[in-house]
Amino acid sequence: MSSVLKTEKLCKSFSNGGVQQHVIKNLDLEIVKGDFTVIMGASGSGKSTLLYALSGMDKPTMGKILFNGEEIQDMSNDQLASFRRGNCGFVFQSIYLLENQTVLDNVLTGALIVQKNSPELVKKTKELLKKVGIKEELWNKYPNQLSGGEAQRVGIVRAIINNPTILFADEPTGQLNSASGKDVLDIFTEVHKNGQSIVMVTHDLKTALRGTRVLFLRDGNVVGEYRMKNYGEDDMKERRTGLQNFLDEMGW
Amino acid sequence: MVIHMKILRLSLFNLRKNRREALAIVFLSLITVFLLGTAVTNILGMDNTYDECFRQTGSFMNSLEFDADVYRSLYRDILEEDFGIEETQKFDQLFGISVNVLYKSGEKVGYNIQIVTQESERKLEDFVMEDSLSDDEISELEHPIWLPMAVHLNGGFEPGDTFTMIIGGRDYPFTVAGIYNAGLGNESGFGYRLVISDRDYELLRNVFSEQVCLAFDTEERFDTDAYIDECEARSSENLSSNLSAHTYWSEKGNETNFVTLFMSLSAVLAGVTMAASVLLIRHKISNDIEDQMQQIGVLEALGYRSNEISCSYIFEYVITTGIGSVLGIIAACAFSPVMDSFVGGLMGRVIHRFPEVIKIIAVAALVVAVTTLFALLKARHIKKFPPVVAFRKGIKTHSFRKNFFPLEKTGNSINVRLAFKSFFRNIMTNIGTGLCIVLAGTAMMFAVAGWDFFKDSDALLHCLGIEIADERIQPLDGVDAYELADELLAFPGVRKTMVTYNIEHVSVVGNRSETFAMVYEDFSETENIFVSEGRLPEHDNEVAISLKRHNTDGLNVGDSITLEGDGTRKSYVITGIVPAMGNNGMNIYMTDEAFLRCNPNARPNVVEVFLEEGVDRAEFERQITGVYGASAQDAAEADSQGCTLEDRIRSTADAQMATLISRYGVTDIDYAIVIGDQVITGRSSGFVIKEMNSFLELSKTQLEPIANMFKVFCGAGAIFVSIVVAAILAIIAASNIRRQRKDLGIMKSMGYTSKDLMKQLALSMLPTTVVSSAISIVIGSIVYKLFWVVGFGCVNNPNLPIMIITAILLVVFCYIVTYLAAGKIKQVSVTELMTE
Repeated sequence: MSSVLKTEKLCKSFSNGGVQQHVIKNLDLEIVKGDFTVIMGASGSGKSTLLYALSGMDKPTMGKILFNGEEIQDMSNDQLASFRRGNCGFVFQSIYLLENQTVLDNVLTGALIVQKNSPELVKKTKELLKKVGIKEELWNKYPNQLSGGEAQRVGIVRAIINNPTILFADEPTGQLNSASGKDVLDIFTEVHKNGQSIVMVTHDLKTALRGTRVLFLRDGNVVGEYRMKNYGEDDMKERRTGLQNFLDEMGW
Repeated sequence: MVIHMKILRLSLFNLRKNRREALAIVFLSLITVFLLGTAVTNILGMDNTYDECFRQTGSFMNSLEFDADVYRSLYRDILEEDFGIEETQKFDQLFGISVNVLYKSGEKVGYNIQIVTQESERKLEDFVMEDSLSDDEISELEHPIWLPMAVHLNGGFEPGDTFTMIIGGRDYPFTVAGIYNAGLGNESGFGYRLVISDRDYELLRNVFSEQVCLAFDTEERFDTDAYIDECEARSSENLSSNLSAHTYWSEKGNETNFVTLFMSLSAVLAGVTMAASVLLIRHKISNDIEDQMQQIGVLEALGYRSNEISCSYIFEYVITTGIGSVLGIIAACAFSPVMDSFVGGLMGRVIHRFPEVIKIIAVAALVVAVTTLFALLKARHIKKFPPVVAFRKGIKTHSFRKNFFPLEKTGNSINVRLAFKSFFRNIMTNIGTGLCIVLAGTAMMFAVAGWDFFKDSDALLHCLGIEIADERIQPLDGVDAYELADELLAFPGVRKTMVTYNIEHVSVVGNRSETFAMVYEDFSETENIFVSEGRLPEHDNEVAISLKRHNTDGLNVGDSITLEGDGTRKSYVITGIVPAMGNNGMNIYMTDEAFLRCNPNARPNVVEVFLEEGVDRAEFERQITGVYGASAQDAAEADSQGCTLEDRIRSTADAQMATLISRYGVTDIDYAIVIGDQVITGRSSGFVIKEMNSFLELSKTQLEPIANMFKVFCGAGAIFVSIVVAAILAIIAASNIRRQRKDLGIMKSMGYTSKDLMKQLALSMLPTTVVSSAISIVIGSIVYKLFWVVGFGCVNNPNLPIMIITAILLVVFCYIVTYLAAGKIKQVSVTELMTE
């Protein structure tokens, strides 16, 4: 399996009142194509910071990030933006739909920066929306007219519309009730089954069960890794036990 | 009290957070208070300032100037007996129209001048010296001259400099002995009063027209028309063209008109800035409320009343406009000497006064009060948002808006599409922004149109409504003006000659305002007289009137008007309206046949000469002198220093003849002088020309400083408005970025670059700036035309292509400023934008 994302001695620090706070410390990491990588850890362990650095939304303080072999850590903000267009999709905990745009326009705003407008693109958008359960009558609604689950599903469609190399997700079910959360996770599983590489941050066990690889982060570094086979309803008990044991071992 | 302190802290926190916008509002307030304070104090204080300057000269308030040959002692008696004037001073003066004066720079300019001796000057006023040579130095001067302050300010003459008048191609050099503060005789229209020695006065008596002056004081404006009527009734003489009244009120009007005009324009600029600031603050409060809606909800939930939260916004603007106003007060006071110098330059006087701090503070307080009021009206909207509504980010987010420009139909550029979506989404905000730009844009269009007009310093000449001949030649009585015109036409370099009458006064029956008749045989040959309505007169029962008379008297084309000339009343039909600035805009245009109907005894007495392009006027005058001899005035003064005895005798005889002709109206002289066996004979037929002057030069002298001042003012105004527009747009852009920062962050996360987003922001302003600029052209044109019609009685259409180019530049400027102001996006990372 080929590596799509790799970090070498990655560091990220923040200055807080003149005091340097090292959030990521000399982190070496490799994400393989087709993997569903879940990053777990306690609050403040650097999960989100790592995700933003890996996706090119934030610059590391030191170290390298190789995306398909290309170094991205020294890119300017605009170069990083251009890099993100085709390579990264992002699903946020706070969903972050554009409040002033309709459902359809929210997705197309993401799509049209990469692809030229075409009937095929619009058709694909509508099909994806249908596929994640967003009915046609909702397409021209605004985000505040949607439920949290519906909004997050729109967010996922927006993230995957450009067929990104990696789909990043930061606590995608954090603001959803359990039923909506399950629907969203099912979509992630579905997307992954179609070959999409995913990197997801979560502190929720149920969410982590959907991954194929779980990395445990502590004090800015990966202190443990647990591998699982592809998600299936039938082996839930086995997956839960294995992951629970791993997390216990990590001091979760 | 504690709550208010907390609210104040909240305001200060917001100010620190949005430092740039706060600074921009401080700047706009500073400019508003500075301009408005300066304008208001100058406009309100103009009367006192002028009165103080005038009082210090100790001048009489009125001076009636009679042509010496028509003056009767009866006229003084009438003043004392019929008009109750107790003290009258009588003195003589010389008067010259469009006398060429050599500036220090070598430039030749035309001045109307009055010349008096020191004794006469002291009869009129105190002869207060501002600067002068010492008595010893003055006593050594051969030809000393004392200049009024206006000539010093305009021409830059200092004591000790040479002041040269050129008459009939001959130089009359004087040495400036001093600069004095003149009450009357300190402006170009009525003429500058120059004081010279008795000896020089005697010498120049033969060169200039002589006048007898009566100076006296009155409480109210002196009724010259009633006085002339009375004098004419009792003396049976026509005085209207032989008497000019020069009063404190007329001089004050002439000197302060342009100061008031400039200050009014400054006040308009200040008004534009203030209106823009107010609209901007409303826009910003609206954005802030929307942006901080959830925070408002939290504060309300914590028990803060909506009034108290509104106060936090109001405090913000009270603080910023307060600081700006204080700085504006300081600037207005600090620049007061500069403004005094500017105003003094326009008035032709030196102004010494303290800044009117109280008035400026009152203006500043007004600015803060108005701003606070508008901020209060907008901030009260918080009442509409109880905590629960505020938590949900207000009603706005729950409205079901129309989706303009759906992305499904995006063409080539997503950025353009998103920009236009944004424009329609914020339509109300954009209307507010558009109003700001329309206000500023109108001021800019006006300034640019003005600058474009005044960049040609001769442009004002075309608004005079008077023919501007290169040379205006008055032949001696008895000389046929038409024959002379034909002869002059044969001179090389002469393009055209026209015969007319010396500017004649006629009266409009039922209206006492002074009226000047512009008389030509055929108006199709005139070059500087145009109608804005109707046509120029062609027949003896037709006249055209000036636009000012049309506006003030309500006379229209087709109406009748009765004119009285030399005691004869005739009715005429008005055929046209002529925009005219000249002669205070009170002209009547008529053919010579029409003129003769009400002035049956008049004879044409002026030949106007129009030279070809590039022909030197001085050279032409030399040619004229070579053929016709010097003008009678000039010859009368010429040196009697020929080479031979015969030359000297002829010269002296010519001078004596010229004196008789020019001063006593003698028309024909023969002489024979016997010296030993030699007889020297001569006759006056060699003298043809009584007087030569250039109306063109005089007009240029009077109009050029005004044109230059306007040009500078308009240029500075355009730059100033650009700065205001830039400040407005920078604030709007910053405010929009803050309001949309989350959306911008989301878009950055999707891969939109900072440049994409900057372009979107700039493009989203584009429809507003395009529409506003187009509206500015229309309103700017109307305001510009009104300015000329109402202010000067002439029609001056703005240069439309220039205005269109300005509008395009304004749009481009707005785009660039917004784009650059949006550069703030670059400094903010995606995560910061989303989670700030």
